[in-house]
Amino acid sequence: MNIVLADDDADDRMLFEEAINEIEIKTELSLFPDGKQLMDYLGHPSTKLPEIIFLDLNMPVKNGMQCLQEIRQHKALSHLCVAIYSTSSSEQDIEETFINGANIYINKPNSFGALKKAVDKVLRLNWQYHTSALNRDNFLLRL
Amino acid sequence: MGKSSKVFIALLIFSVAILTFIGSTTYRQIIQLGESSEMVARTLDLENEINTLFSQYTAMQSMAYETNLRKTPLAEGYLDNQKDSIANTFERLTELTSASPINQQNLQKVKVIQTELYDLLPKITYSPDNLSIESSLVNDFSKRMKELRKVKMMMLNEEELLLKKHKETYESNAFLTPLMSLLLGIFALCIFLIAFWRLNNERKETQRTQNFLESILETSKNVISYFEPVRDQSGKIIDFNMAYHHKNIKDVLEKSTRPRDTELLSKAFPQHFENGVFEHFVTCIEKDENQNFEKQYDFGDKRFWYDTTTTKLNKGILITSRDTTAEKIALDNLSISKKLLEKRNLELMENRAFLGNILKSISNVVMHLKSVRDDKGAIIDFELLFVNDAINNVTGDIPVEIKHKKASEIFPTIFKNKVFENLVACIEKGEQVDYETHFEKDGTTKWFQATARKLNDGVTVTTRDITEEKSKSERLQFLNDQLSVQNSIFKDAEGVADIGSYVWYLDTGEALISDNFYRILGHEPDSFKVTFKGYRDFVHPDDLEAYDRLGSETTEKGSSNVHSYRIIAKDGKVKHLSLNGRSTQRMGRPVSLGVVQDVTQNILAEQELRNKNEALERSNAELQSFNRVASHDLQEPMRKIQLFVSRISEAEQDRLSEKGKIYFEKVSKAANRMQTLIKYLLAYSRLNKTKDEFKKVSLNDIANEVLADLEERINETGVQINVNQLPRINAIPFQMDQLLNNLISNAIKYRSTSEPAKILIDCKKIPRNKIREDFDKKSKNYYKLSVTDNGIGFDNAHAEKIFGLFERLHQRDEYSGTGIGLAICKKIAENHDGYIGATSELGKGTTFRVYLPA
Amino acid sequence: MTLNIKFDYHTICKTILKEQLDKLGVAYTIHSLGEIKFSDNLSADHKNELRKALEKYGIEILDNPQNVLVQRIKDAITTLVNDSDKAGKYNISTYLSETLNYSYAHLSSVFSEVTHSSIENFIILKKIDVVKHLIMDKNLTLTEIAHRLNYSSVAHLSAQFKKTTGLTPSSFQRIIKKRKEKGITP
Repeated sequence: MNIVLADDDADDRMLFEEAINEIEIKTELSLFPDGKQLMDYLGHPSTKLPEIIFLDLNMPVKNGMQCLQEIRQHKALSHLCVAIYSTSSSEQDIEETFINGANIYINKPNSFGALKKAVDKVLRLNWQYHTSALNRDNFLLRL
Repeated sequence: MGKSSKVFIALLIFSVAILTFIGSTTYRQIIQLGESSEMVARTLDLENEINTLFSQYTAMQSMAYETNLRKTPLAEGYLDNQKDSIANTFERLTELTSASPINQQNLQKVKVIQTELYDLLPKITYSPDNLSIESSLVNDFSKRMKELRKVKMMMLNEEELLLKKHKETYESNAFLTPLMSLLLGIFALCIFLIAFWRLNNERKETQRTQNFLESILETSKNVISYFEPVRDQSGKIIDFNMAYHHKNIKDVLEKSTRPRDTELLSKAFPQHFENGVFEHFVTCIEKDENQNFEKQYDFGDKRFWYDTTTTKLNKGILITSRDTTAEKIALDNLSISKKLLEKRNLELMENRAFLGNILKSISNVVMHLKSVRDDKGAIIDFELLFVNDAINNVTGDIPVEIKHKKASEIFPTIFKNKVFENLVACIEKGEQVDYETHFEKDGTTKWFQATARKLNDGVTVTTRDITEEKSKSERLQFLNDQLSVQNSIFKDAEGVADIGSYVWYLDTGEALISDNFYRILGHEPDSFKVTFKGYRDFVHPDDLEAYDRLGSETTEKGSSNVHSYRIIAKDGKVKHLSLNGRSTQRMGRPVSLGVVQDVTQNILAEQELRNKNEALERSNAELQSFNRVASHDLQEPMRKIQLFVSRISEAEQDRLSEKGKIYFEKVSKAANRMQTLIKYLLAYSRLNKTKDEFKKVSLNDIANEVLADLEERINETGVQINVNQLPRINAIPFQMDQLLNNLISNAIKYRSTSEPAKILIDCKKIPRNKIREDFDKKSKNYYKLSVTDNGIGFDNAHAEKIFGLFERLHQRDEYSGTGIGLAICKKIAENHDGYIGATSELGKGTTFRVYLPA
Repeated sequence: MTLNIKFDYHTICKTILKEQLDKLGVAYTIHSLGEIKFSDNLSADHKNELRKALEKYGIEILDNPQNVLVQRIKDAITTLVNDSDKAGKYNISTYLSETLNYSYAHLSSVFSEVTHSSIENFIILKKIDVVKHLIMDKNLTLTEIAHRLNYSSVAHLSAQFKKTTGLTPSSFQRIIKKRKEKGITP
């Protein structure tokens, strides 16, 4: 499975990568330190589009919300599964991202185990949505 | 074709068939009769011939005997002659007996015997050659003759039988044939009679119909005609031939001045080709549609109307025209008279409306009262026949409700205040009576000037409200007194309110200013003479431009947009003055009257407020950025600490000492607490009230979701939670969720340890006056949402305190908590214009009540 | 401008399958979705061609018999969940083992092996998917939905919904509604 993460926090990127490496499902992960680099990558014609995009909300240059909106308005990208990966646990923030088209909202967990579990669940569920006749329009998940 | 005619045709065919049958039968009968008679005749012939034949034989015998006796030979050729005639007879007989085989046989026998006879005859006949005749031969001959006679008898018998039969047939035929003929005759007669009767009937019917039709035509004024089309070579109809017209058309023709000797429509009625009538005729024929039209025709100087209906009939058209001239004229007359009536009606209504409007618009009460008399003819009461709407302002009565009521019923006071006597006097003397009266309503007395005038057996009373006039003179006196008092008060007030007044003569620029105006300028009253120009010296240099504008604008237009300027008072203090002037005439001179107010204090206060507001805005923005920082940046390190701790304790599990593990756990816990605290604080600070987030929400749905959210905790602790029927309310959904979540979590947290924990969530609607708690109750009714537990409770003295931020009643190690949860609840309740309160008893349980506007 | 459309996955899938299969020019019959029978054996080239063509539409050719079985399990569950009458009467495990003719233990282990998730989880996922559909498209209340899908109570339904999606049904409804208003369709 092909996934990407855009997060300005180097620690978070590192831990995420470690978590990905430790879970059962085999994945290829690309990392980006801000939204702009992510969008450039996604916009490049040679890019193999990822199954899931993990997006931090608070990022310099281009934040997660802007990326999300761009993705949803982009013809070739609008179908991609977007998972918000943020510290904010404000209900308003969360609802806002869902309304703008996020599929998944993950509160950055407090433990590595929780992180692993969350990533694992997201990948499995996304796989399930991919392979079964489930309505992807209604795919919302909050972790 | 009718049913009966079909029956008749069938009957006719049937009778012809019967006639033919009977005729043919009769014919056969006649033929048979002829045959039978012929047969009878033939039998008689036969008998004759037989007798002839046998007589010839006998003659031959006797001849033979004679010769013998006479001894003379037989005459030459006699025998041959005889034989010839016998052969003839025989031939005839053979012919006649062709129908009877028996006689044919008999004839054959005769023939045999005849041959023998012919043989014998010469032998017995005397001749010179034959002198001795043997007697035996003679006997033979006689014997043969006897046989012949026998045969003859047989033949005659046979014929007798045949004759008898033929006679019978003949007789029966002779009887049947005339009978059949008679029958035929009678039957034919019958048919003829029936046919005649029918025909006659039909003829009569036709006659009757024709008469009827004619009488209709004669009596009706309709003109009925039948026109046949005249076509050109292409078959197009170009004219009509007036093939038939009812005699009434003559009248029409007489009306017309056209030549009458023609049968062509184009000559008789050329106007038909201009007014569309011809087209109607053509359409009627070509489309086979009935046409109906009403047209106007001018014959001579008169105008006629005809209503015409045309129907296609065979090749032509049947035209029925009705003279509707009279109807038209009548209709015209009717509409003229109707218009006249309408006009009159309108005028009448206008008059009435006019009167009604007058009565409605005048404030005077107008009423008409009819006398009510007793047996002796004395007036004892009045009946109200009319009153206008103005009565409503006086007594509050509605005119239609009091009409036709007795005065004693609706104006009982008139019997006490002499008004009744006045009215009676008016009627009895027939003179106009004027009087004053008063009427009390809702505690105020109204005075009226009334005029009563006799009309028929009653009075028309017009009443004018003079209360105001009456009170005006009193009021004038009162106002005068007031004015002097007010003047002195005003003077004091000017001082207190830092107000001064001025009278500014616009023509010369001179001005009179009040004592306090002098004081505002820092001078003693009347210490100098004021002019617009001189006053300019007091004006703050920066405001001189505005002051000059005030001068020019007020002089030109009477008013100015300049309402404030600064002055520098005698002591050098800058004062802000606000002014308001109004231009008028005084003793024939244009003046501006106005007041000035020293608003220095207000301006300074305002300035301060503005500064404070700006500071507040700044701090608000700072707070918001703090929120953002707190939500993200402050939490991040805490999370990182926990993350890495968890990473270490997991990855380095084997290498860490037990103590190290415990320390790491403590680090993690502390960081977690810190994070939770930050989250709660954030949640608290973000609780704000935005109108558009208010929605109709079902509290039951929210409660269900909260219970779902807390499911794990509930199962873990075994708390039994009951939710009663909750209402739908207008609220911020997410805050209601938080409120219930906090209250229920709280109740679970402080649950009883000694008995099964129970929580009840209930809601009741109550009016605000039944709520004991003291808060600003804007709504008429409130929902009292309550969460009751049987938990550990607390001392009721702390009931207020617990809603404060960071207020805790328990040690941290006893019950974990941030001290923010209930503060959040309080803020939510306040956001919804509601209130939260609690009552509790140690060891018994707690009830939280949230009042929310219903 | 907004256009509302309604579509049926089965018809779409069937149409796509037919189109692609017709291109190959081999005789085939489509047995209930998820199974295609060829009268002759399919050549490796044809198979690859078909695999590529169908990939675009997210249709996958299952080679592995285990994958086939998993697909059949999923289909059976989909049918059951959509048929509320049946769902009320049957116990899932008996239903599955009866329909598919395998022991439930076997089905369960194959399913977990292939999908990394349990049958029970999948059923819940499927059920919640139906709940979402009923909330959004049919505008049913939670009480009606709970009754229809044989949940013991609304609280139970809410709890399962929250557990599966992390959201309460009402916030889910609010989000989808606002999304529609903004015209965002992921």
